[in-house]
Amino acid sequence: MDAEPALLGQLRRGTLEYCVLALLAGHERYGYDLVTALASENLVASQGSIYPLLARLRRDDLVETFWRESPDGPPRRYYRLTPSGVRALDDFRLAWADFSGSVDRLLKGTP
Amino acid sequence: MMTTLHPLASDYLDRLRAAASVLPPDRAAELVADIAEHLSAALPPGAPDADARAALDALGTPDQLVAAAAEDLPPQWTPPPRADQAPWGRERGQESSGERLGAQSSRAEFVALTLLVLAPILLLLAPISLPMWAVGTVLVPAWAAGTVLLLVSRRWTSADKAFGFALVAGPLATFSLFLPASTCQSDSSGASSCEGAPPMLGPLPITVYLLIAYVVLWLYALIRLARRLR
Repeated sequence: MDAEPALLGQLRRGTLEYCVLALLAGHERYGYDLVTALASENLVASQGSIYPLLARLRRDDLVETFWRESPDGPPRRYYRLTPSGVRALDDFRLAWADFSGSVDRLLKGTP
Repeated sequence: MMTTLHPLASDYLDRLRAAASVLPPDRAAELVADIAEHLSAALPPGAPDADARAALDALGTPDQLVAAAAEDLPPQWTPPPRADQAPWGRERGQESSGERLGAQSSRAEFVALTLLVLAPILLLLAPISLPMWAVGTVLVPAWAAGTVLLLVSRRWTSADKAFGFALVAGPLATFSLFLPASTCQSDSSGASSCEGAPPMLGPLPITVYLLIAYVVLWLYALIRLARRLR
């Protein structure tokens, strides 16, 4: 993406947590896995800030965590959606469809 | 859960731990644990320095992470007095979270610096102005308190504390100034011999250069520790 960093930051801020929820839809992932997936889509400025976001999602009961043994090294913390998280993601899909539809129409110049 | 981390990663975690001391303890511990896990996943044992630096750059600075972790703290939150910090009162105000993060929990560190800086200065003035009993009952406990506050500080990293020992040694350096430099005697034939005179390096005794080097180190340590508290 060539968009200006400040612009990109603004766009990310509102949607990042839903992108995290979307990555967890139907999957269980551990922290590093989530961060690299987001980074590969150029959705994070500082990778480390994802962890406080994940902690907040856990406090808001949108995700839950559990430990799983890893083949090489200490146990890893895995994340998955809670039922509330699934509902929040569904709500976002609808809201995003409406919102992005409106923005697209305006950008194309059709009222 | 101990795995060998790259030394640059360990240093980063030390700095993160220090920066996170302004957060509620459970949040601070959670942040450090998550980042430690991230780094051990990102950097396999024996990873080259360049990889480590890239991983740490991508992570963001400790202050950025602590700010992210503090975002949803309630505005009137201030850290409760902790048992391992000096029991001075704290100001409660309506500052923004950015100001709050910087201003909190540095009181003990400021006191430590003040005590450690005053100790050698007062000792320097001792023969002129202070009675010996004051040195024993005021100066020594003050210096000891400053040293303890330095050691238990959560704002300063281990490297900071190592430099802090240059400050702790202040009184010792001051004391060495009072030691007799040399004793010279004349024997019966008129020739004089000096014992204990320090070797010369150019125009000045070596001890003068050592003293200058120590003062430079002392100043560096003071500036470094003070800057951390901003």
